[in-house]
Amino acid sequence: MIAEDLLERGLGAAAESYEIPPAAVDDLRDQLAPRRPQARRRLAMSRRAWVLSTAAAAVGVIALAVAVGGGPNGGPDSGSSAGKSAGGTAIGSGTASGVNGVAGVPAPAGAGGSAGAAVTGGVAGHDSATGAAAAVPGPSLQQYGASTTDGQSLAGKPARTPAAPAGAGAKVVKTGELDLQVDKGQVAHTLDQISAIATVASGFVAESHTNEGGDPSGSITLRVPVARFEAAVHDVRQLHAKVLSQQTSGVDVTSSYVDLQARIRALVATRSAFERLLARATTIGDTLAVQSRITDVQTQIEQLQGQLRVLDDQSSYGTLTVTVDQKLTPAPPAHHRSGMSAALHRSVDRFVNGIEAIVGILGPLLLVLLLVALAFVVGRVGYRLLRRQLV
Amino acid sequence: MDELDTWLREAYPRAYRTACLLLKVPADAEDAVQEAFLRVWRFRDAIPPGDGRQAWLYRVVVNACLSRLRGDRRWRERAGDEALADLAASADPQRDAEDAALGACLTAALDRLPEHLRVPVVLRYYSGLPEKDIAVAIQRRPGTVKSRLSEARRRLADDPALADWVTLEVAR
Repeated sequence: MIAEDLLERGLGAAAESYEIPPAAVDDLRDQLAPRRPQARRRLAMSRRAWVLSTAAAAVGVIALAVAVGGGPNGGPDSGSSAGKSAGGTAIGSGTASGVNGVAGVPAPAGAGGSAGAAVTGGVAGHDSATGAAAAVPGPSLQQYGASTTDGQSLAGKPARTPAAPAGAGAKVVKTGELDLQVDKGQVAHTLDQISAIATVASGFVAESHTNEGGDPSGSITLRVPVARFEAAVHDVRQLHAKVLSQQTSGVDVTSSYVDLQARIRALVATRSAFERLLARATTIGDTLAVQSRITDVQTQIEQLQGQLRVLDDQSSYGTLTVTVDQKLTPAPPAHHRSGMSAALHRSVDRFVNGIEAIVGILGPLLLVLLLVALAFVVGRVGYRLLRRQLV
Repeated sequence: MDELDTWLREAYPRAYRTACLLLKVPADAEDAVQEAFLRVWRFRDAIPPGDGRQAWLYRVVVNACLSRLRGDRRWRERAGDEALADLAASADPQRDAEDAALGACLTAALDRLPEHLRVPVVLRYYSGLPEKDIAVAIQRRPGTVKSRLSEARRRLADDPALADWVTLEVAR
């Protein structure tokens, strides 16, 4: 039998070759019980960014006022000229004007960029972009697009593709849902038409199912190239069907995409470094340790590449789910009976109920009779046998 | 540092490496251990106090690993004799690499053990679980654990990858 300490030593050495993932415990801890202080820190940083942004904007305003008005003696004209430039540059210009209420001031790096992105987010999905929309910070950096449960309010106004950030192709994941109601017997036909729309838009049907029961319905999920997504939504809306609800959204995943690319590049460089180390390793321990690290890095690269492919797919093809239901058939009005007619129907019902009751009781009654007859026969035979024995 | 932090920092490394020894793939091991911690933490109120949480944690870790092993036979291909091949390629194993070499040999020998023997060996001799906790983890009686450990040690002693080590140990 192998010695226990040899097993412990060997297993310990084998286990040591597996590095503990550096952030695993913290990640797990956050999953089990999210830490609030981090959120506060992020909030605090965000506030600091706002303060910096505001201060930078104020400095810019003063500089502009000096430039336009010719110095501190420029008088009230300097303020008004700054104010006039607000409307012209508030939307999509990458300035901080919409956020801080100060117009025409080129934003500093970072602060201005985020403000510009917020403006873009506010515009997307709405035909009328306003300063109020532009002033929404935070989530609008990532999430924008049209979203409504009232199909009519967006009729003919599909969500606009948000402007791409300068210097990068925007990656936008578009999804949408439509609920349609069609006339009786038209569910299958409508689903066929929707399927044809996907084909025309160079897309495909990802999933489809129909319910052929008494109340037919169906749903179909289309994957359509992002460039033709709005056209496909529009075409579906043009079908002979009532739009009960519509919801479309677009999520900008450009930053995630770029981040993934950067992380993959960094990991590939790390792997190359480890491979060079492996070539120089002279001991078994070194070789095993470096190989283990290469395997780890390779696994991470493959995971990130998988995520990148998913983002690529999602941002190349929008997902549109259409649910088709049939109009409900109105229930027939309750037939009003006269007093005599109602009495007659009641009488017939009660007669039938009486017959049913009699038929229902016949079975048990018959069983009781059979048991009594059996007992009588057994008793009689027994009595005769007993009498013979006595005689 | 609260209870959760303490538990995680104490238990995670060994649980993770236990899963690595069973699965061979760090990413899969991380997933399995993460799943185990999430489940045990979610049902922590129903787990008996004291060492009960550790036994339950390993029970879930083992189940998660086995379900992955049974669903993914790549493990067999991946494990193989890679470690031994590396060892054979080395002409002159040095003293400071002795433990690493033993680990590689033991890993190769463990791969040849059937699953019902391999799991108790890892839990006993790496994770350091007592037999009663291993019984909870693999859902068998303590007597079964004892007999499986004996059988595993007998088989490992006969394994060609470990023959030299056993001889060396006896000589020492």
